[in-house]
Parts: sequence; C-alpha cells; structure tokens
Amino acid sequence: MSAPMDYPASPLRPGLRAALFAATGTAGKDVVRFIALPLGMALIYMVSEMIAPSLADKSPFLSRFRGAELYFRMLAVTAYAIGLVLTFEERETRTWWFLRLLPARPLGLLAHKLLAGVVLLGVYMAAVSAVVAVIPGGWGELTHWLSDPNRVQACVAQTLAGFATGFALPLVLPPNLVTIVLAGLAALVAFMALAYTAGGVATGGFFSAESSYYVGSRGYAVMMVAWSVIMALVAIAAVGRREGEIARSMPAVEVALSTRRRRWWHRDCGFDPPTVHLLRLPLILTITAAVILPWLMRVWNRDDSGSHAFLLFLMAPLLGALLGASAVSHGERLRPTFYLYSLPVSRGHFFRKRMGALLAASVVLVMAWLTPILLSLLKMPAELLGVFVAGAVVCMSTAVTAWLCALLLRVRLFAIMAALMVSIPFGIAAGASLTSMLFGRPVFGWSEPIVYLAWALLVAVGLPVLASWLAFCRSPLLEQSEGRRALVALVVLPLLAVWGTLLLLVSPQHFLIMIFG
Amino acid sequence: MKPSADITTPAIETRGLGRRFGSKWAVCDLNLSIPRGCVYGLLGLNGAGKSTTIRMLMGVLEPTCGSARVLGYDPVTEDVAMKCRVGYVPDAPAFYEWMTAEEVCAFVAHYRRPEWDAKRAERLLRDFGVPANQRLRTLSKGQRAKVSLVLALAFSPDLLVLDEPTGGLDPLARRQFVEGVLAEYSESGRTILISSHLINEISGLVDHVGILHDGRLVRSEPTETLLARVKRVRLFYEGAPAPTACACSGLLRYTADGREAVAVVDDYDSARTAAEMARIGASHHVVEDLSLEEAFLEIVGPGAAAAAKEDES
Repeated sequence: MSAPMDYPASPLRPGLRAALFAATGTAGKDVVRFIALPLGMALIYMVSEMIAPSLADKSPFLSRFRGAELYFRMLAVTAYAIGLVLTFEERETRTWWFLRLLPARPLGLLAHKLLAGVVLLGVYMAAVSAVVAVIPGGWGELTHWLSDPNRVQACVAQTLAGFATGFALPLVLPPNLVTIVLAGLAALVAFMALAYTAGGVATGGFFSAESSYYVGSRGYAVMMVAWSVIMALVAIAAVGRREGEIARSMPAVEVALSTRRRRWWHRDCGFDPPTVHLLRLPLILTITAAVILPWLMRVWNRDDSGSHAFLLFLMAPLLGALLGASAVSHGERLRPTFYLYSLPVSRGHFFRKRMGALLAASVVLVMAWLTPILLSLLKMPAELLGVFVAGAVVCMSTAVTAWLCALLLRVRLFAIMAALMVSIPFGIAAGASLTSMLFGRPVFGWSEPIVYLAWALLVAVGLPVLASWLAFCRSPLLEQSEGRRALVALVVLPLLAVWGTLLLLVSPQHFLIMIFG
Repeated sequence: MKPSADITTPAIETRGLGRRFGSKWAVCDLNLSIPRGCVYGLLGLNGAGKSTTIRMLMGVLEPTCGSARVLGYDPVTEDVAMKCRVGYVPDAPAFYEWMTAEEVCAFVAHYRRPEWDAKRAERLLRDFGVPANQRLRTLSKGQRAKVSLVLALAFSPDLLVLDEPTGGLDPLARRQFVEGVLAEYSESGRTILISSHLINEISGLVDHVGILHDGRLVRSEPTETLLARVKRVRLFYEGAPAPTACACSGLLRYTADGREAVAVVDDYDSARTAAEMARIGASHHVVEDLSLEEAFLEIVGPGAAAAAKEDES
C-alpha cells in the first residue's frame, strides 16, 4: 500500500538524507518530508498577492484578503497545516506505532516534532518575506500593520493556536483528514463562540469591533493562548497513551458487529456498520450546533437583525463536510482493494447501501436545520431566515463535494483545498440565489436563481451519485492507481471550481447582501 | 546495578499479567518465567493472546492487571531503558514507506546509538537480498519483513522478541532466517522469544515452550520435558473390540477403531501407563513420540478444550 499523502521527493541525495536522519532523527526526517508544504504555501501567498489587484474592482470583499491581512491569515493557516502534517501522517500510516517501539521518550519525540515545526514555519516565513520584499510597497505596509503591538500579539497567538490545533487533533481523532481539519475549525469556532459569549456576558459588549475580544485585541490573544494550552495538554496526554494504534487496527466490521444493536444495523437495517459508526460524530455536532447556535445568535444580536449570522453560515458547511467526508470509512479509502469487494455481493448493492446511508444522514441534517428555521419563523427577521436556508444549501453542497473528494482521492491537503474551491463559490451562489428567490431582492433577476438552483441541485444530488457510481459500480476507482484517481479529480474539480468562481465574480453583491443584509 | 546486569533473574517474568478488551480478557493471569539464554517458543492458536502478551511485554500495551519484568525492567515505567536492550519484530511492521531501507536504518540508528552496528545492518540487508536504495513502498511484503528483522538484529540486542517473524518470507528466506540468523543468535547465549505458527520450522531451535490457550498459559516448560510427557499410545485388543471410551488419568484424546485404539496422554510415565493399559484390557500397546507441532495440537485441540470444560463443570 502506498503512502496516502504524497509529497514531492526531497532534493537531497539518498546518502545525504540517510546521514541527516542518523544525525537528527525525527526532526530531520519531518523537515525533509514536509519541506514542500511551507514552500507551497508561500507560493499560494505570492499568487494571491498577484491576483488581488484584479479582484479589487470585482469583489471588495475578496480584495480585503491581501497585504497584511493576507499575511496574518496565511500565517495561521500555514501553522495549522504544518502542525497537522507532523502528526497526521504518523497516525494514518501507523508509523506512530513504529516510533513508539524505538527507545525514545514520548516527550522527546514530541520535542523533535516541535523543532521540525519551528523549522518549517521558519522556512515559510523566510519565503514569504522574500515575496513581500519584491512586492512594491509590500514591506512597508506589513511593517506599518505590525507596528501595533496588539496585532503582533494576535499574530503570534493565532499562529500558536493554529499550530497547536493542527498538531494535537490527529493524535486523538480518527485518522480522517477531512474530519480532523473540519473538526479542528469547528472546535475552534465553538471555543471562540463560548468565550465571546462568556466575555460578552461579563462585560456587556457582544462580538463587535468595540468589544475587547475582537481580533487584534489583548482579549483575543489571551483566548488564542488559552486554546493553545488546551491543545498542548491534549497532545501531551495523547502522546503518553500507549495503545491508540492497537484499537485502531481492529477491523471496523468486527467492532461494528460486537453488539446486538450493531448487528441490527448490519443485518436488518442494511446500513454498512462502518458508515453508521463514522456518521455519529458529525451528526451529533450538526444537531448540537443547530440547537445551540440560534440561541447564541439571539444572545449576541438582541437588537440586531441578524447581520452577524455568518457564524452560522460558517458552521453549516463545516459540519456538512464532516458528514459527507465520513460517509466513506477511512479503511476503504486507503486500501487499494477493500474487503467488501471480496464478498459475493454486487457492487450495485454497496452503491445502494451507501446512497441509503447518505440519504438518511441528509434527512437528519436537513431536519436539524429545519428545526431552528421553524422555530425562528415566529420571531426571526427575514434576513436571518434566509441565511438559515442558504446555510442548509451550502452545507449540503459542501458535504457532497467533500464526499466526492473522499471517494476519488485518498484524502490529502489537496483534496481539502479542491473541496473548498468548489463548494464555497457554489454554496454562496446557491445560497444567494435562494435568498433572492425567497425575498425577491430587486437586484436579482428571476431567471438567475433558477440557473443557480439547477447547479446547486447538480452539486447536491448529481455529484455524489456520480461519484458513488464510479467508485462502487462502474469503474473500481478505489482499485486504480493514485495517479489515475487524481487525474479524474483534476479534470472534474477545476472545471466546477472555475464555473462556481465565475458565478461568484459576476455577482459579488449576492455574497455581500447575504452576509451584511 | 543496572537491572539487566543481574544474570540470575529470568529474562522475562510476569505475575498475574492480564489484559482486557471491553468485557473480554485477551490474556488472563499470566505467570511466565523465561530463563536467560534460552529460545522460548510462545505457541497458541489464532486469538490465543500471543500478540497481546508480547505487546504488553514490549511496553506498547498497558496491562489491565499484574506486572512484568523484561531483563529486569518494568515495561511500563522503564520502557525506554528496556527497549535499548530488546529487539522486537512486530507481526505487522509499519515503516516510513517513502524512505529507502538504508534511510530507515539510519533513522533507527539515531535512537539506538551506540549499540547500533551499521556494518552489521549493511551485511544483513545484503544477505537478505534487500535493495538498500529502493523505497520501502516498492518492496514486496517479504522484503519489508526482512527490513524489520534487520532493524531488530543490527544492534545485537540481549533479548530478541519475534512476533510471527517468518509470516511474509518465502521458504528460502525462512530457512535462511531460522538456520542462519536465529541459530547464530541463540548460540551467542542471548535470549529469544518467538511466537510463530510455523512450529515445525522452529522446533529444532526452541528449547522452552509456552502454550497459550484462550488467554491462559496452559504449558510452560522445556521442550524436552513437554515431548517426554505428551505421548501417543496405540492400544491393541485381542478377541473383543476396543472400548469406545477410556477413563485414564492425563488423557488428552482417545479414539477407537475396531480392535485398535489411540490414546494421547499427558504426563506420560512408562510404568504407570503400562498398568493403566492393562487395567482397561489392552493386550499390548506401543508408545510413539510426538513432534512439537503434534503435541501442541493435541494440547490445544478440540478434544483438550472439551476435556477442560468437563473438568471445570
């Protein structure tokens, strides 16, 4: 079985690499393995800076993400990605088990990994500094932005929090990259929401630029550091644990059949037990979020007509993508030929089972979103109601897109980026069209929403069906080479991404109206 | 004094060691003592608890109850010191598959200095026919198993623990491993704990045997003692057919066919067995030796299990 996450080969000669590994152990190994990641992120930074001026007149919202703002956000994202790869691959490929057999203290291994993280982050910062230096006025703008000590604090604290979150979560969650990435973001958002609420209750100010918890403030930095400490404790506890890999090596079916209830799922209900097992977390999160978030929104926005509903808007696709990505179990994605294919059952049977599982999960998801909508019908302002509906559509489209990626590719960072590239423009366009259709905004023509809706339906229904059919019935894509699957994804996903982006750029006001009312 | 320097203590010793997964005890009340310098074969059917036992001994799985000492070290609290002296080949080794064999050796060498012998590692790779500059992901299952063996052998550990080491090896490599590497290693006076299904292949090397059945240690003794105790006795009857049942002490299995019957007895003693056979009316009997595999199968086979249940009831 080939390694699930492929990175470009290191430029070092084999003999030199061996000497480096012998001298530095895990730290050197991780730096060599992941050196392409910070360089790639710096490349994304450079491309973003290059296209930002052309977006300025098309989308004021997107044009904000350049210069110091971009530097600030990319640093946190890169720290998150670096933290993530340092531990995720060890879990996914079970090499964490290999490390634990070596005569090294767990905290020593942790220190090696932290050292590698610092080096990789240093590589990123050096590369980005070079990019900033060649952009006219870039260096001056950045130093001016950083001249505020609060911003420096926030920058450091957010980078720390990003790294700690990415580092700790793979050690405690199932080794599914989509789940980990999105659960990390969802957990961070939930933590911030709780902190905002607690801070708001204590100080009387809620979630505004004037609040002492706004990004760039001391309160924000304190929250990020507190979060980092929590994540560090999680990592230390997980590293000290001896047997995480043992439990994971047990076949999922065996685990699923261990109780009478699961036998019922398997034999009588006809769901694949691994799917049911994996769907539990996203469903719980979805329902919890759907119940708690509307309440939080009311606390924050007593006198406001829902202009800050974008938190809900953010949570919806995250949870939806969790759901979609969990519909295919980790083991099935990783193994070139998986166990189910060896059973004397047609692939169409598995196809129907999976579609049934996804359909049932979707019903639960939609119901979870409908409940607050129904509750809100009496009191909620129309704009907020529109955001709920839009959120549900975004949620579903993101979920199925992530599912598509999960089926076609062994999940890797590329798949996450591709999923977001596709789903966010589509979701926004679809949500905007729904809002316009429901509330008859004058800026929209009536033909436009129909086109958007058709696309949304295609994404929400057509793609998962196509992906399932390809994976389970027609072409055993899971048995094909990594390269061939990547080729399919590379052809399909960018086409959709380009179309979705075009929709967004042509009508940027949709997005702005939906967010800011 | 370092724990491992005390040569009078057993290489491995456990007291009441047990591990539970959910409600099921995978290993229960394990009292094991493996003398230094011996080759100890840990035998058992699938799911008997061999790998769980080894993982607890290697400090990668925490016991639910009981204690263990490996070379005098506690695997839970002194696992790093213990791992410096122990070479372990797991049943399903996981590597950095993007590394070459040479690189993974270098990586492990970082943690096993100063004991790591790079020349020995190089020689073992060459002897096993493993390409040193090829990425591990491109190697066959057997070649990766050989890399795992090289990593365990290259620093000359005091104790070598092998969990199904020959699983992925072809017959030639198996013979090379058993007759070459293991024999050489055991001759140097070091201790080997080996768990394997291929009992016949290791039977010539193993001087102590432990048999695990349903998580319990049902035998632990020198191989010679075991083979001297478990015998197959062919009974011949004249005049009347052989009885369909037999009530002899230490009986593991009894089958009758016409005027001939076969009894497999535990705790064999020539005088006592002769008296027993005369008592049940056999005109004469022939005692046959069993191979280690035959003895193992007789002890853990269905007949033994049924007898054990009867005893309990």
